[in-house]
Amino acid sequence: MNSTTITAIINLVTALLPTLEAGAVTLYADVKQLLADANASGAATPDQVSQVQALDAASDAALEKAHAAYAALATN
Amino acid sequence: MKLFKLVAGLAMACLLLSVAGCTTTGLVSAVGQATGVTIPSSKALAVADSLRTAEDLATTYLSGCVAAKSHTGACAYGDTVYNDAKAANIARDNLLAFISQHGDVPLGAGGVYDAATTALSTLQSVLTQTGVYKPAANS
Repeated sequence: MNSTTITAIINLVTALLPTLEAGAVTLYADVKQLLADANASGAATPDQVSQVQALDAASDAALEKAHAAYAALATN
Repeated sequence: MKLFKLVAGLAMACLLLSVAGCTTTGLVSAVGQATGVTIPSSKALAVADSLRTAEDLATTYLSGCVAAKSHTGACAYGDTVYNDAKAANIARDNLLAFISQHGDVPLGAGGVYDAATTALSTLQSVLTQTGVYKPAANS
């Protein structure tokens, strides 16, 4: 590896350092949050899951209805 | 400190390998799998709830455009919003099905947790463009 190549690599790494640093900080925060979430206790009951699914069904229907009306705007 | 080294190492590996789709979410998942992290079902259920809230915002946006009889300008995102909301619904349903059958969600278990959080992020992103979703200042 000649000096030109080494200089090019050093320049590249120097240019990338701010991005790397910012990415590492973000990643560290995400992983920290992930582990905090994992340590949080709490199991969802079947009833809770069923309630969420029922609410989802209503929201899904409303979304379909709204989009059908929106799509109709384009054809009118 | 060990965790930070692991994360930094994964980030560097990701950079050097230039792996397509090597995102923060993917790396967090990789760390989770490596350390056997399991997401409590209550937390996963909260993600599903957030997805429904985002879906309701999508519906609000579409309904607003219908009321204004507008398909252009600020209302030009309608189909994108709808498609992202549909994709989020699939991710949410898969996550809920997993919780129903297994309870807590180990990271890497079919990618159901990653898929749901990614879909939520995607939907929130397009809703932010429409102006109906305003991210919290600290997020």
